[in-house]
Order: sequence, then C-alpha cells, then structure tokens
Amino acid sequence: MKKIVLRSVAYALLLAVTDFTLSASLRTGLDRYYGFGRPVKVLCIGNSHLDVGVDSTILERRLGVPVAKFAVSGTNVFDHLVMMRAALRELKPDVVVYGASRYLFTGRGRGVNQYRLLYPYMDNPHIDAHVARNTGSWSEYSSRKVVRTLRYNDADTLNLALRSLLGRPLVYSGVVDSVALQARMAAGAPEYRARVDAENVEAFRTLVKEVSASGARLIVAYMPVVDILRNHDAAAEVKVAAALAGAAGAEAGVVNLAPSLENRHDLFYDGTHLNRHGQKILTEALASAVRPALEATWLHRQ
Amino acid sequence: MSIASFAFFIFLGAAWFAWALSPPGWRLRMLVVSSAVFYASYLDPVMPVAAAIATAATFMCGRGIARGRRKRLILIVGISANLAVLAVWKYLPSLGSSLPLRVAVAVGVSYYCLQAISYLVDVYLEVSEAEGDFEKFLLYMLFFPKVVQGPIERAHDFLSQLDGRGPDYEDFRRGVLLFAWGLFLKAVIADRLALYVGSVYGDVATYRGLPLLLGTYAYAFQLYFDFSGYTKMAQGAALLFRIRLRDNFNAPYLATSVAEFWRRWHMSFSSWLMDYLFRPVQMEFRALGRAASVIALLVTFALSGLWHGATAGFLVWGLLHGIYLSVGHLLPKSATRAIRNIPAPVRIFWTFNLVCFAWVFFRSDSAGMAVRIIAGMFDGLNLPALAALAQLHRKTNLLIVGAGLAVTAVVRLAGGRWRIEDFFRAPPAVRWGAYHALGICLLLFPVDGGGSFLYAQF
Repeated sequence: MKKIVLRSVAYALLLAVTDFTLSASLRTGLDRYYGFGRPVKVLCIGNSHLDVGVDSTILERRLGVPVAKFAVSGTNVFDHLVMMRAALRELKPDVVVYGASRYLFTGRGRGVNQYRLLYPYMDNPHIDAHVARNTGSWSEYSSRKVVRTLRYNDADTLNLALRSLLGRPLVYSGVVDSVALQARMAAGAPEYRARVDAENVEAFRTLVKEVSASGARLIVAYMPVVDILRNHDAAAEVKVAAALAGAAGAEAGVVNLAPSLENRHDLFYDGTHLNRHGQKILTEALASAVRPALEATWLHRQ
Repeated sequence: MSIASFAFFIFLGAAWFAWALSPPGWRLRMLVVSSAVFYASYLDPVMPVAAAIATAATFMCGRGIARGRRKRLILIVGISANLAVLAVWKYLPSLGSSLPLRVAVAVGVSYYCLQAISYLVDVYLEVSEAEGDFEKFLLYMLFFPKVVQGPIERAHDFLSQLDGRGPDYEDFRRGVLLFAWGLFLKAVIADRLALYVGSVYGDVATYRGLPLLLGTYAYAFQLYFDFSGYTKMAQGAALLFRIRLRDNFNAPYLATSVAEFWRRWHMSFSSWLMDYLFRPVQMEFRALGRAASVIALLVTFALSGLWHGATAGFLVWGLLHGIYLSVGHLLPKSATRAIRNIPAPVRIFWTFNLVCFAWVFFRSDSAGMAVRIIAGMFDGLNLPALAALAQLHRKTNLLIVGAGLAVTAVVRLAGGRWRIEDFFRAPPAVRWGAYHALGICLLLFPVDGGGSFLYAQF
C-alpha cells in the first residue's frame, strides 16, 4: 500500500511538472501567434476570415505599431464579445479592428463547440465564464481547470501553437475551385446561406458599445467572399450589410473590403477565405483604413 | 458517468482508497457500494429497478436450481425473467412514442442479462455452483468497471476472485498501465477517427466514392479501438481491485477467415453465443447433419444482430455473418484446402473487406441507407471531396491517428515476443520513459468525444 501511494504520488508530480511545462510552452506559441504578451496599439478580433485574410506582421510594418490578431476559427459574434472583453482588459488597444463576414448574424456560426478553442485563455475570467456556460459536461470543464495541457488538445489549437513555436506559419497558397463551388451553389448549398438573427445583432451592438466605452476606436472590416456566394444569396447580402451598418451606428466605422476583391477568384483559397496573395492585398487595404483612425487617437491624446 | 471522463478518474481513485483502506471483511461491501454509486451517477431511476429485478430473480432461481427440485422449470423462469427485463428495458424503448408510457433503456442491461442467463445455465448443468452470498452475486452482475458494456463474465471465473484480498503493487501497476493504454486507444485514436467517419456518414451524397470507402475502413477501426479501448480500461480498473476480467479482442482484423474473426472479436460475447445459443440449437437439429450447423449459425447470428438492437440493419449485419460462416462450413474440403494455400495477407485482406461490408449495415441508420452507401462507394474516386475532407480534418489529425496506429502496431508486434513481465523487468528509465510518453499523449492528443462509447448503446 505504501509503495503504491509513494509511486503514484511520484508519477503524479512528474506529470504535473510536465503538464506545467508543456502548457506554458504551448501558451507561449499561441501568444506569439496572436501577438499577445506585449502592449499593442491595434487589436484585430474575428474568426477564420480575419485570421486567413489579414497578415498581422505586414499590418504592423505598415502602421508602425504593435498589432495583436485574436482571430479564432469557427468563432461567432457571441464568442467575439467575450474575446474582445478579455483582450481589452489585457491589452488596452487604441484601435480595435473587428473582422465581420456575411455570416456574422447567422445563428451560432458554422462551427460547433468552437468555445473549446478558447480553453487556452480560460485563466481570464471573461473567457472562463464563457466556456463554463457552453461546456458539454462538468468533466470536460473541470479537467481543463486542473490539467492545463488539455486546454490545447484541439487539433487547430495544437497546430497553431506548435507552428508558432517552430516559426512555421500556415500558408494558404491554393486557389478556389470555382467550377466545383458553382456546382455546389446550384445544388442548393444551405450551409452557405446567410441571414440576420436579432440575437446576433444585439450581441454585435453590445460589442460596439463596449469598445466605444473603453475609449478605443472601432473599425468594422467587412471581409470578402467569392462573388459566387454573394450572387447566390444577394438578398441576404443586402440585409446583412444594412443590419451591420445599423448596429455599428456612429460609434464604429464600417470599412467594406469586399468589392474590389470578390470577383478575383485567384485571390481566394476557398469560397470564404483568401489565399496568401489575397491576404497581402487585403492587409494593405486594411492598413490604409486603420491609419487615419490610429492617427486620430494620437491627435486626440495630444 | 463514462469511464473515459474526468469524473470517473476521481471516482475510481476514491473507490480504490475506500477499498484499500477497508478491513478485509468489508472490502467486497465497499466494491458493492462503489458499484451502486457508479450506477446511481446515471441519475435514471429505472436503471436500478431493471438491475434489481434481473439480479434478484437470477440469484433466487440459481439457489432454486441448486436445491435440485423442478430444476428445468426454475431455469425457464429465471431465463424468462431476464429476457423480460431485456425486452422491457432494451427493446420497448425503441418503439418510442407509440408507447403509452416512457420507458428508458437501462444502461448495461444487454450485458448483465447475458451474464445472468449463462450463470443459470451453468448452475443447471452443474458447471458452476450456485452462489450463496448475495453481496458477491451482486458484484458479479453489477461490478462497476464492466456493468456498462462488459466483458461478459462467466460466474465461476469471476466469483472465485472475490475473496476479500487487499491491494497489490504488481496488480496495481498493471491495472494503471492497462487503463491508460485503453484510454489512449479510445480518446486518441477512436475518437479522432470518429471525426472523419462522422463527416462521411453524415453526408454520404457528397462523399460518395473513395471518401466513403475510406470512411467505412475508418469506421471499422474506430469501432475496434473504441471497444477494445473500453475493454482495456475496464480490465485495468478491475485489476486495481485485484479482479481479472476476460479479454474481448485479439487483433481481429488480422483474422484469415470470418470464423477466425469471430474467435478474435468481442470474445466474451462470441463465446457466450457459441456455448449458450449455437451449440444448443445445433444439438436440437443434429438429425439434419450439416444443415444443423447452418441453421444454428443463421439463428445464432440473426439473434446476435438483434441483440445489438431491433433494427433491420443489425439483423442484416448478423445474417451476413451467418451466411459467411455457413458458406465456409458448406465448402467442399478441396476448396477449403485451396483457400488455405492462398497467402495469408490476401486472406486477411479478403476477410477484412467482408467484415467491413457487413459493418456498413451495422453503422447505417437503415438497411436501405446501407445499400445506398455500398452503391455510393463504387461511384468513382471523387478526389475533390477527399481533398476537402483532408482540409476539413487537418493534417494534424491525420498525423496523430497515423502515429497512434503505428504505436499500436508496434505494441501488437512486440506483444508476440514479449510479455508484460518483460516490460516490468526493464530498467526504471525505460519503464518511466514509457509511462511518461503515454501520459504526454493522453495530455496532448485526446479528443473530446463526450466520453461515450459505441458499444454502450447496445
């Protein structure tokens, strides 16, 4: 009995040290990827559209200030509200760029269980409360409270953290198969339909108010999708744009980054995400849109 | 409470300490209490009712049979009681809304009812003695590591181990290792394969062709790793309390024939079928010669399919296996000899494909859907859909599954030459290195599958 207890405790201690070391390394990788752990002037928040669409290194170079890009694949406006609260509290940026897509007001988004991607940041009380609310079971939540490495066990999170640690960023270099996408649209493709849900609009309105209350300027960057999708569902596109402008109000500037890019299929990796080439063009356009806001904040401070 | 959940790990630790610190006379009682707590964690009031009826009826009938009067009648009553429990708490719920009252499926009912029937038959045939201690019998029926999905234990093997023995270091470390290895098979491999299988089978129209074929192969491995992972975890958890449970798998996809597959797949169930269904039916029809075996095979496997659930898909799955085995049985000796001369890898591949063909019916929502899936599998290559799937599930997932499969293959190959004792005799650095590697895999690579096991639904 004594031998069992002693060996078990020894192994548990070894595992605890490993857990701490592994999770700290992975957290370093993720922080580096998102641009956390340093004072920033510009904070970008969004999902994969923003993640793939904006190169934060180029944006930093063009603006000459540190930029953080907290863009997590599959997240929706409800997740973004929480991510924004957490990041505002930690980073205190001057300008917030919110990556909005045509699916911003469509239900809970296209992913499921995307709250799991926020587990690495559950030490933050906003994110902790959010994941606790959404978690599937007590076991899932509490295991991550106790065992920190488990927070990184989603393939996307692990991939990001390791790639960032190894200095090998993911590059989307392919080009969308327009013919296949066209065929998919012809078959109905309900997963690509956008709509406007009141609950989402309300969450977005809250996000706008909270950014404004923090003293930061908000720029809503409307991200492009291939025109095949827009043409397939043109009426929804108009409704989403109107709802976005209405909810953003005077407190936020909406920058539509879509028109010049959407008919350039060579700039897209798939129907909704830009490739490396498209990313460069969009980042330049975004830098031009952010610079005046950034300068206005400096003038305001002076 | 799933045995692959954090809550279970805490429960298992608490149950072990309660058991280990109890005086010898109280150890069985502690296991009964732990099993009751585990069962109660499902928070379903009908489950204890079903378990209580099956356990009490079987215990009393066992004692009645042992007394020697009206043995056959008591045996029939005991078996009928268990079949009634099975019918009410397994098959009635599948009728769903057509019932006037809500009946839920009782967790583990398929497993403990089969154990109960084997116990009654063994006592009747005087293979086993009737158990006089209700506490021990309760554990035989409802011991928590095995109550949800087996292994289906034989009474004499299980009950003989319940002697109040205390903790032992060798059993403890083996138990922990087995449990962790089972968790690796389940959470790292099976649940990751489930992501791909779920995508493909969730949209068979899009993923026709090669993605569907690969999805079916992936399902075969998902099922195997899910169930064998559970079995190892159950064996490991039981070993902490110094109880050895049967093994259920012996590399089934390396079988060179379907008959061999059934000697390697879900062994506690297949041996139950052989002893308590196939042989009695075969004896009943023995006057028919070779046809008796064919009838017995078809009946046994049709019922085996229905044991998994009262659906056409399960029935067809069972009948397909019955037909495979019957064809093998009816082949002339010259053909059997010719088949044996075919190289083993070819026979393994052929058998695996026959098994996978049947799995389609097992996995599909209906027999009609299964036919559509089989037709879809041979509808071209559909490489764009395969590329889209690869993109959806990321290279990371493929790498982890690939590495996991490689590790299990190495362990399997090593298992042929080494025994676990050899591993425990290795230098401490090697052993602790292996424990640590397993621990890191379990920290970094598990998938949140919700802790549910495929075979728990049966």
